[in-house]
Amino acid sequence: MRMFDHHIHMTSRTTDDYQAMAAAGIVAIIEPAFWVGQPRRNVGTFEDYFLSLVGWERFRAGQFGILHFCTIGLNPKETNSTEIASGVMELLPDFLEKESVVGVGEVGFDDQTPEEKRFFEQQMDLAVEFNLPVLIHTPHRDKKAGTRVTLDIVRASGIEPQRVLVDHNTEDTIEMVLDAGCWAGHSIYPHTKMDEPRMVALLRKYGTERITINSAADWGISDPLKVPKTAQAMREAGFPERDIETIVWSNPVAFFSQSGRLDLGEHAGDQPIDQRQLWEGNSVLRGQTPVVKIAS
Amino acid sequence: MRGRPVRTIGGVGLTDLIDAVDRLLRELSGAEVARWIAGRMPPTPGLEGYRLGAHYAAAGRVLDDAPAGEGMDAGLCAAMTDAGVEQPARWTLLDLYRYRLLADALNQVSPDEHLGVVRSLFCKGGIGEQRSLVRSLILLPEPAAFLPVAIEACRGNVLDVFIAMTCENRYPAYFFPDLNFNQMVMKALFNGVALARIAGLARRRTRELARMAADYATERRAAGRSIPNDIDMIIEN
Repeated sequence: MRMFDHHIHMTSRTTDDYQAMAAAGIVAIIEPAFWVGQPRRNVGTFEDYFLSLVGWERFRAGQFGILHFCTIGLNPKETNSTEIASGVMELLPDFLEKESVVGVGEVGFDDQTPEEKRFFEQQMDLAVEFNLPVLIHTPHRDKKAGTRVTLDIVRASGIEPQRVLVDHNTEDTIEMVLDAGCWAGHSIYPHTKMDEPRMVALLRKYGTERITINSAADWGISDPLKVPKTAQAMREAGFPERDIETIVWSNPVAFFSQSGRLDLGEHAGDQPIDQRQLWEGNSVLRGQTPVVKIAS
Repeated sequence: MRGRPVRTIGGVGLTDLIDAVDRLLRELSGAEVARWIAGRMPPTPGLEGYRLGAHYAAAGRVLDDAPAGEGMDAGLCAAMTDAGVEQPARWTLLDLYRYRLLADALNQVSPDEHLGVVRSLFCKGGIGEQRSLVRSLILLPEPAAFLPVAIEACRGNVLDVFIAMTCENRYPAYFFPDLNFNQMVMKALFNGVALARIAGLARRRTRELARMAADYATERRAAGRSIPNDIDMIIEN
């Protein structure tokens, strides 16, 4: 079954991950711009990071037959470095015009400071201006209250709620997100956020409409195969294949297609692979035979 | 530097070329695209406040990106070939539009600002933008001015961009110093890019390039690996 992981930070992952993801059926991914683990001290660092999301990482994914899209935004945590944050905001309009950018994100709250609120609101305005859907990160701490304020900001922004995906939901937040008319994303994690059995229980209770899952895999302990693993958990729990496909493919495709830019090609499940390609003189290969599977 | 373009595009020639591109864009794109294009042309004079990079990128979602093929106007093809584009039918409407936008933008600023404008587009461009940009360098006024960008394009390794700079494009043959030209040819060999696609290669064959290729063949042989057949195009027999 073809799968779409709509939230994964491949910049922080290895080629082994790409290989395993492709083998498990993942054919398309979205890499939201995010917090890279340590605070950035220069606006230019953000610019190079955004460039890698529309260039190098796309190319790297393509070598494994995986279509790579991204969302561009200033993450909540770093809005608190206000001097840098203002400079990053100036970069955003140009990047939001790039072809493989299918949304604004991830934006939202971390510590829930006034600065975070201000830049969150400004980026909601950008989403409206550029007619792009939004991927919203919900905070790890004080999650329920943070999600409530998030939904207030969504309502005040004037964006249509079905163009908003509120991510990292738990049992405590899913209902208010769905009631607000937004999409509810769930990040399936080894120890924190959401796990497979709890996700299966949520799907039993709430059905499949406007619900998505992702791995949100990054530089921490996380698992880029959580989407296929959750699909398997659904299967074992007796969900029909059609429902599984809705969750791992149709739903994220439907949501991000609202960008008008999600070009999955005619053969989304059969992208050409050519590992002979190099980047900056460096192959991602280290001695193994390149995989070449070019569609005729 | 070795050789010069058979024709420098500039003055009247450039205007004619832009007119021909405009006609083709009008003919092959719908009315909606034509309106979109009309709304994004640079102001005159100067580029103050004009978001060239954003328009250059956004075109990727609007203009057709399949090779124009037989849709290409014969006169335009001839002019492009004359200037150094081999097989202009490989260009897409998107490439043509981006060329037209950039040429018009450069027209609004003094020549000493041209390299800065082009370098900024290259440095901030996604894969498709960089491809369009390096294809068009040879059609810009005084193409030699853009040599640093062209060399940088060969250092990158998204194959689309490297191929756009290297293949069916006489820019490297006209303007690259030997060192950069030779490195480009060797990189084409490494990447399995057919040497026959490197425009003007025969004219730039040197003993040094032949030696590099022969060393490469020796290294491949020692490792028990195959040797590209077209290496004969540069190794002296």
